[in-house]
Amino acid sequence: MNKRFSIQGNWKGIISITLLGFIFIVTIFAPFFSPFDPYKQSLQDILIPPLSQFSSHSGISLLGTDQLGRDVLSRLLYGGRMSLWMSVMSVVFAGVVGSCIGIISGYYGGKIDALMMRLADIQMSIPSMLLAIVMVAVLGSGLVNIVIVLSITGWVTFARVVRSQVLSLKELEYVEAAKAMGVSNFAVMRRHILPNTVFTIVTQAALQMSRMILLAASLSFLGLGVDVSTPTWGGMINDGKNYISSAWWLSTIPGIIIAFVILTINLFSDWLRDKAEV
Amino acid sequence: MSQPFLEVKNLRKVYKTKSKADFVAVKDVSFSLSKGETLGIVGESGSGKTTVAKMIAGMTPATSGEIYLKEEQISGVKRKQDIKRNIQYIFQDPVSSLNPRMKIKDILAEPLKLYFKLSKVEIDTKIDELLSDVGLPNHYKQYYPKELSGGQCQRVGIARALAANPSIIVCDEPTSALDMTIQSQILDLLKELQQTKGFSYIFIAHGLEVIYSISNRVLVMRQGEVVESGDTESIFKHPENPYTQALIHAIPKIEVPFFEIN
Repeated sequence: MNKRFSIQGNWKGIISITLLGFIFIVTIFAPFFSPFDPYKQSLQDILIPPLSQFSSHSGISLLGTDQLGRDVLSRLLYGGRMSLWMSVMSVVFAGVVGSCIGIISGYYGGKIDALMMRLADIQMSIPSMLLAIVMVAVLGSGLVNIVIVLSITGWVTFARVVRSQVLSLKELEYVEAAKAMGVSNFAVMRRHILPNTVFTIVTQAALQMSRMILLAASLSFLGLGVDVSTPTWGGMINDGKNYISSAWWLSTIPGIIIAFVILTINLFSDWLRDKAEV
Repeated sequence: MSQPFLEVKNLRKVYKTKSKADFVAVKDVSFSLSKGETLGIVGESGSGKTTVAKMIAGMTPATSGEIYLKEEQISGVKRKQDIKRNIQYIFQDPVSSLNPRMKIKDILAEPLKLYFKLSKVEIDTKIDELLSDVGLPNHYKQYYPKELSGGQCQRVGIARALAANPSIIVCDEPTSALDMTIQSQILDLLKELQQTKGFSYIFIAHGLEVIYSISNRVLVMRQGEVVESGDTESIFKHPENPYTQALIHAIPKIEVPFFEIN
């Protein structure tokens, strides 16, 4: 209860939470932070390098402009909003669905368990990227569809991890006690099983988050993401790849940002896992 | 002896194994228990005593045999909530029998909410009552199980059983995970509760030393069978079965070393 919060043991948490907080605030409030309109094109300012003056108006483009003269920094912030929002939503959906399936199949066992786990096996045998491409081809692109596709590729991991923990939890005496008392199955799962798996779920969610960002970026890179004019990190890398020899900043900067965010989230989940083990 | 309260007839438990022949964990065990009485069941590990206890408490279904509670058959049928309420269970490991993510008050509130229609205030007062019954201070209800010692956790386990206001409490080696001094405190608490509330106990133990102080009658089990049964006193004074004799010999005797003082 009164454990003192030491900086030494929690440096991972402090650094990652600060950075993540910063990233989320800057991207969520992109309209406040972005210096220019991310959609505004300007033929005079095509492909100007970072830290150079605009010729159409006064002001410095910190990270350069793209082939249509749009400010890269502004697009990065707006794009982050889209990319992060997509991955957060899909992690939430995948987490809720996956954990429910995991708890139910772990708790009841038998036929439900066999059915769910074979379903998971089938899905795991298909590479998630391939699955996502096929599903986008069937469902069509668009924000809602991308979130659905990402969630579908993510639930399996949650279901597996949660199920394996439920298998050991349900043998514990307090679960047995509650069952013998006559507590309903639903209440046993909600009160005795779910609270004891929350830590696993949260840790898993943090790990999945980075995977989702990458997958969302890959989909936009392939042109299967949201509308082309809407900035996304993956889409920006895709747009820039034709100019990689003349304008390195177009693909490189969003690439570095994706790598940075994923590293930060991994640091955060690493910290969560350390906490769970204590 | 008053009329039997709980009656067990030819209780049998068979576990199916894939490779070998079926394993018979409990073979035709019969006994009865009257109100306010304590029946001790003794035996080594694997003698089937815990299986008997779990069948009575309804945690494991019996393969065959009958269990009557106040002349109502309760084995092999879906038990009514009132029957579940009447038979409560105290576990061997006090720590793992309490949900680590629930406060003591929530652990105790669970049976109260389940069996009785009580208002919030009534539940609160009932929890205070239960804690004082088992000798724990009131403010412990805000704690989590990990903040309590083993003996205190076992008191919470007892309070949870009391909360249901049962007529029978099955105690599955409730003291074997505890220190010697705590063991006797828990036994004293159980005896005291029996006197004030009139429970019947089925008390499981692996050795006779614990049984002696608490039981009226003793059932000695070995390899799923009852090898000897009778009043505690007669079992201790005239054990007939060699296994019972061995158990009595196994009770550690205290020999106070003699120190010569010059």
